[in-house]
Amino acid sequence: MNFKEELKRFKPSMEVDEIEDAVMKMDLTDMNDIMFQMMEKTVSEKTAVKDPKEEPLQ
Amino acid sequence: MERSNRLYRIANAFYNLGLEKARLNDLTGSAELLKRALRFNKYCTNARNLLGLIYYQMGETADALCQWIISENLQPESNAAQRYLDMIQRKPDQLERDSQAIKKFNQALATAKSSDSAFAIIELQHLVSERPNYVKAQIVLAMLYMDKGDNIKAGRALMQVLHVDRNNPTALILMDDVKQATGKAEVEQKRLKNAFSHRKMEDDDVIMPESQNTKIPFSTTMIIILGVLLGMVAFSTLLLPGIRKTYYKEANEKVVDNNRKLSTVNSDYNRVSTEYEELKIKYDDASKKLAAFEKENRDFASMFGLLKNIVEEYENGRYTDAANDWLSIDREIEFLNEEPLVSQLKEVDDVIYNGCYDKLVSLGTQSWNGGKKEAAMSYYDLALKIDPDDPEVMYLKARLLQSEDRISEANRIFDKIVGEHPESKYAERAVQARGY
Repeated sequence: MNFKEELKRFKPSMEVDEIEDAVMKMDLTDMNDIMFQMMEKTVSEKTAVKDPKEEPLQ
Repeated sequence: MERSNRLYRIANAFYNLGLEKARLNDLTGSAELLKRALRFNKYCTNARNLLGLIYYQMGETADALCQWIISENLQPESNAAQRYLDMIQRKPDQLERDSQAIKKFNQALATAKSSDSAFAIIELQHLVSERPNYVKAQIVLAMLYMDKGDNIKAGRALMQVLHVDRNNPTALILMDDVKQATGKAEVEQKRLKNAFSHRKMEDDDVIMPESQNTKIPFSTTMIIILGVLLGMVAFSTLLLPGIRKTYYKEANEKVVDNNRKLSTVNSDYNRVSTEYEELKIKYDDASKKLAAFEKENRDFASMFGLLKNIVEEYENGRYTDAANDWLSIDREIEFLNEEPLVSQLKEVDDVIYNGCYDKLVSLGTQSWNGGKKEAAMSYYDLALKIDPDDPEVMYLKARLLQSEDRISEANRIFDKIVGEHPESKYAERAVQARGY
């Protein structure tokens, strides 16, 4: 066992003072959210109106 | 809707598996499954609360609180997380101790990483003696022991980890190494081999009887009982009084000795208490002096900065700021009589009286000429705060008041010029302006 290498893998425990920050930063996205986002994206792409300014001039 | 239900069912299945593992003390395995459950349904409150409990059991209080706080926010009504948080908040001392334990671990880990493993071992030993459930601390301690070659102690620490978290992967790997190093692996393998071997009996094998039943005759029993009774009587009549006497004598001597020691300790305690009180008084006195000295030092530094600032403001053309700061100096302060403040203050006074003052007066006149009478008035007022007896500025201010039909105020100043500075050229001009 390479002691130094193994020890590097250990991260410090979260301290009580850091809880507020950790709660704010915690990613709570679940599968339901991801699927909902995908559905929204698909719907918005289908119903999107093209900007007339971007169309080529006739 | 159906999709959501399916996700909830998957989450629930992971939760059930996690719960089963938690019941079998496989905390790491359980935590992984519960995290998966939460990935499928973040509102799976039971999974989140159980994950918090697992973290708490493993000594990671902050992680546990994190999960319970989120759980309470996601489901504010009828949530077990509230009970857990209440229990912890009801004992602030406990939370403080947990917090200190985490800090100690982090400190020890940093020390271990910086190569001072002996000190880290001492810190971790102290920590795990108070918190044997702190899995991370036990594992790091075990690794430090292994690094030192103390595999027995490492094995004990790892046993403690496996007692809390039966399948902790790191602990299992390290335990394998420890067993190899101590030779326990071979012993265990042999034992297992013997336990599960199905060897056939051979012709030479002999089955030994478990015990032999022999009957003792009644008369022999009676003789033994009689002998025992006689022995007891002889002991109580011949030996016991002497033993008792010696015992009481020794006990009395011990009591007397202890009383003597106690009185010595009491007198020592009284002496130390008195010394402590005296030292406390001296310490308080010294603390007060130190605080006063620090305050004075701070004030001194602050005054030094203020004086320096006034010169800078003047040099940068911020005459009003320079004048206001100069006026804010408290000249009663004792250390203004000490160097280098004395010479610095003198320099600042020169700047204000010989430079800044004239600038303010000329800015006032410029403003007046430019039709900005209000600004002109504020410049003159500031100048008069620096030198209230300058007849020129007094005259200018009075004229400015006159131009704004504030005649009575202007006349008061004209009278003052005439009364207090009769030789000044502005006395005559004041008389004319007032219209005597």
